[in-house]
Amino acid sequence: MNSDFRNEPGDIDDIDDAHLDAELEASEQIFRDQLGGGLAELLSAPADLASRTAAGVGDALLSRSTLAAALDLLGVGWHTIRYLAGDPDPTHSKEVRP
Amino acid sequence: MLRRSRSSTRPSRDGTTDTRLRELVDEHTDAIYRVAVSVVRDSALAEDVVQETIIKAWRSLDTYRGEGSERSWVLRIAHNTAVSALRRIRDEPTDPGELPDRAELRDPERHATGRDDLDRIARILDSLDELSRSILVLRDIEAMTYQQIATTLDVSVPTVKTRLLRARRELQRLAQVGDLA
Repeated sequence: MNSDFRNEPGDIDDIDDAHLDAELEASEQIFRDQLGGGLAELLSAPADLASRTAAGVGDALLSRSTLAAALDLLGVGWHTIRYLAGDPDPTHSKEVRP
Repeated sequence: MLRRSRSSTRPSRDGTTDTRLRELVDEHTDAIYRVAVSVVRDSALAEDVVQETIIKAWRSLDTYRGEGSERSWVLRIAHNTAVSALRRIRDEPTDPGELPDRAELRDPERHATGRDDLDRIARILDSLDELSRSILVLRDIEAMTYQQIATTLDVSVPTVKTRLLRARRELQRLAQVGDLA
């Protein structure tokens, strides 16, 4: 196993910018060669995730749309009740809508 | 009734809007999943984060000002959503048996690499904190620049660099101990 970049825990905060960049550059290829492939594989998304996400997002937005429409209807009902109860302009008290 | 308002969260039958939503899904789902699963370490929860991220991004497209790449903007939403999901789970009184199962990340049917090696990588990854895992993923898998990572995670560039080097050192040290690779 290659270990070309420094491996002394605790000394990173003392490294100046130039050395930090150099160490990062040196570690990049080593890391990708040793662990990058396995890491990418471990975190890979299921093959059908995009299609399931598209379907799930569509359903979720539709549910929220239905809920919003129901709340709109409740709001209309509230205005009507206020109007019938004698308030000539229900829009004056918009902020008290349920 | 379906309306044509994105900000009101209501889907439309407008072909353009539907296409834009589908583009968000097709272009970013896999990257969102990688960031999400690196934070929450549970595949089912990560999939929930993916869906919530797409919905949030779609609802907020009007506020995206084009500063930086769309990928960075979406992944920032993903990271914040994943961190919130993780906190929610940690704050809930939960039966230990119902906590996220790391083994779910290592479905043998999905991976070509040997199960032992993936188990070892998963354990090594678990040894890092969430921010370091995210930085590692954004740099070494998503190939983002340090500046893009800093913007995405809302931290400074020096923080990105020091965390990344520390994470790589730790992973290499643990891999040497386990004779990985």
